[in-house]
Amino acid sequence: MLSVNINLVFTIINLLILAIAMRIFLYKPVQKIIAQRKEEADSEYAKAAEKQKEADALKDQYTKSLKELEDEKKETLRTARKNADEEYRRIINRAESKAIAIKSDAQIQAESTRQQVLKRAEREIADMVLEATTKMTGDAAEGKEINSSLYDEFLSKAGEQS
Amino acid sequence: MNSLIAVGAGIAVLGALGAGIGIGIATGKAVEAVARQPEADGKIMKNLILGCALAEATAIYGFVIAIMIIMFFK
Amino acid sequence: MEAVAEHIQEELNVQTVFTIPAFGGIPVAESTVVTWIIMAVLIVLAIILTRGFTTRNISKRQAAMEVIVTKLLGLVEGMVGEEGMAYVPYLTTVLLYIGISNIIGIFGFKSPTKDLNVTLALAIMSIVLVQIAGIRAKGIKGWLHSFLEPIAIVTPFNILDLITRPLSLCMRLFGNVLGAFVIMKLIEQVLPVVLPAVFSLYFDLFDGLLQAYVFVFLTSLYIKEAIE
Repeated sequence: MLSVNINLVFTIINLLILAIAMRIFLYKPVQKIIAQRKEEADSEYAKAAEKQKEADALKDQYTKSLKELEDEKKETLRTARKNADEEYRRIINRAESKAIAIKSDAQIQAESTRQQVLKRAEREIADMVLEATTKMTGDAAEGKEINSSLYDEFLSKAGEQS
Repeated sequence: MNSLIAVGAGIAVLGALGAGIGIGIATGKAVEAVARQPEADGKIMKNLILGCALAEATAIYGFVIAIMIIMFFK
Repeated sequence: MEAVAEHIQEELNVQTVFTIPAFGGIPVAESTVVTWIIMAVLIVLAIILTRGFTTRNISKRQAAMEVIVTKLLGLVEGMVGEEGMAYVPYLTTVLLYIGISNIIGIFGFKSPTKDLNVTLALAIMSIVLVQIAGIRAKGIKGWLHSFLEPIAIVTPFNILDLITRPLSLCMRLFGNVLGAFVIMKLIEQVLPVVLPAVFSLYFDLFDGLLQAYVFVFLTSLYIKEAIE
């Protein structure tokens, strides 16, 4: 029962074959699958992290461009308003000066019209007075030259007083 | 001749005495440790079983020697 | 009583199944044949159960296989430690082999570990593995130097360890299996109906698996010590 024979060598060979076979058929497939699954999970995580980073970068870009547009809008509004103000002021100035010119023109014209009217009035009054005095004296042709110089003298004195 | 063989085999198995005492003491200490700290009883059990298997080896050696004596001196 | 003794002695001897008709008849014992049977069963099971593995949507069979293999490998790796990862597949194979061959008594075969050749082969391979691990981890000079540790006085004991350790491993396994076998046969002679099953539960299953675990545990302990 306690004999050591060639079966020793047989068993050693058997054991080695069994170890190699187990490694090929059992451990390698299982470990390969687990490694593959871990790798897939890792790559999914990496992809998700990358997408997140991309989304963040995009968001930053968008906010920046929005702000730029906002600034531009404000700038444009300000210049437009300034331009409008200037234009308004210019128009007002022009209108004012025109109004002043028209007024002075009108004043001068009114003054000259008054002078004309005054002169006419003087003449008409002189005529009327002559006619009246002529009617009163009854002499039409006699003393015309002396009367008109009297009338003129009277009128100039009346004119001085008025 | 046969009786001497028998006596030899009998004495060889006396070595199991040491194993019995040793394992008994170890189990006593293990139970004490579990009583002191019940939540570690899994680890204590594992160590106890391992220690018992190793200590039993000496008893087994005695047994094997006895068998060999009986076989070889026939 | 004589018949019982004769019967048991008959069974204790390892019988030759057939002889290879070369070099003057090499006797192939039944332990070798049973080892072949165990190898065939293990390999066929491994091939069938790892068919069609996918990464997602796994079937229950695949999940069970993954759990079993990962747990086994993790168990041995816990004993050897991080540095000895390369030796884990071989040790797990030895665990499976010894475990199955201790249990195979239930199925009616003669256990191959009952043969001294098989246990001696296992022990010799373990020791060679330990020394190879030591040489690989430290180089030849370091391995030779490790015989002098921790003090120079213990050198004879260290050298003796090269012989006593495999001997103790071999004898422990052989003695356990032989003792279980003898007691089972005796019980069968006495009461062949119920008692064998109950005792078989302890001897064959529990003791067999425990001895397999102890064998692998001690080997991995030696490897850990050699790798440091």
